[in-house]
Amino acid sequence: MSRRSLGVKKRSEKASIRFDTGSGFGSTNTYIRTFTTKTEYGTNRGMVATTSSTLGWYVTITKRGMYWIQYQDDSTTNNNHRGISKNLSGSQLTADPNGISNANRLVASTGHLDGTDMTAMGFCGYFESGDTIWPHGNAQQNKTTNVYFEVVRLF
Amino acid sequence: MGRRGSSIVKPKYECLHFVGGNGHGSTNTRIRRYSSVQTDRRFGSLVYSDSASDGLSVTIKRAGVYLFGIGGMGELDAHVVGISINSSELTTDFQNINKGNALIYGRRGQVNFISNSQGARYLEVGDVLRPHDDNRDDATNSNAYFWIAKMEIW
Repeated sequence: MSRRSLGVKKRSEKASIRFDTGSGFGSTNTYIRTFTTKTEYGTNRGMVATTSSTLGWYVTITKRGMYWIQYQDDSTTNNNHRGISKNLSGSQLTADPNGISNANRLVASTGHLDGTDMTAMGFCGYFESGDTIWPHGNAQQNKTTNVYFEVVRLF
Repeated sequence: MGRRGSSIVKPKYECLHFVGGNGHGSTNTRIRRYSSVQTDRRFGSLVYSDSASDGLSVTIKRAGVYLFGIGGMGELDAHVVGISINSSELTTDFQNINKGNALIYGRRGQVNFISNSQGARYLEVGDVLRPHDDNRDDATNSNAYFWIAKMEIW
């Protein structure tokens, strides 16, 4: 039986990109998170990171397949929404993730108590080459610690 | 030698992603319905059924490890969401069903707060998963969602 039939990938096909430590939001895309550090395993093995102070930080898929995405965020203000969104464009990049279009929704959550209610979320699914994946906040997630966003290519 | 005659196998990625709250079953009053299927990639491992009376259910046709998740929002009240497995308590609030039928659980105690939860399990052929709540997860937008993905290709 082949490795593929078992769902086992060669090491060369696995990859992950992780953003750590929040640093605000894009200056143009004002609801897209920015971070301080990027850690990448398997460069150019199916996805690339954009780390822009204007556009925010996000990941573009370059090879179709199954991916796991996780995101955690926090705020010092109450009641704010955050989520992992897909293929955002235009005004969506400056809009709250609350109730975005079905086509752009992967997962979301809402923080409650200021500074003590970090929320984490995860999603697993199939992505095509060209899909973009965004850490999407509502411009109030101003915490720096315990903030991360990670995309993992599974197979 | 053609592809079929070689060792190259085209992988079959399988997953479902439902988005957009669309009420609950009229008979199964704690089983969620959704307005759109954003991703539907199936090659025999999964089938789903969505009816006005029964709500949504996903049945496993090929055993294996699956990841799954759910989110919701109560627009009028605090709410509970969960994913049940092989439950017959389809008019019972999720938090009160037999714990052996509860896979994952999420709750937000405030109006208009989005909950989310995710998990994994080895699922057998015939297992039935349902987005199961307390009927207070009443969002009609993308804040209600349910997904499942098979963790191997074949």
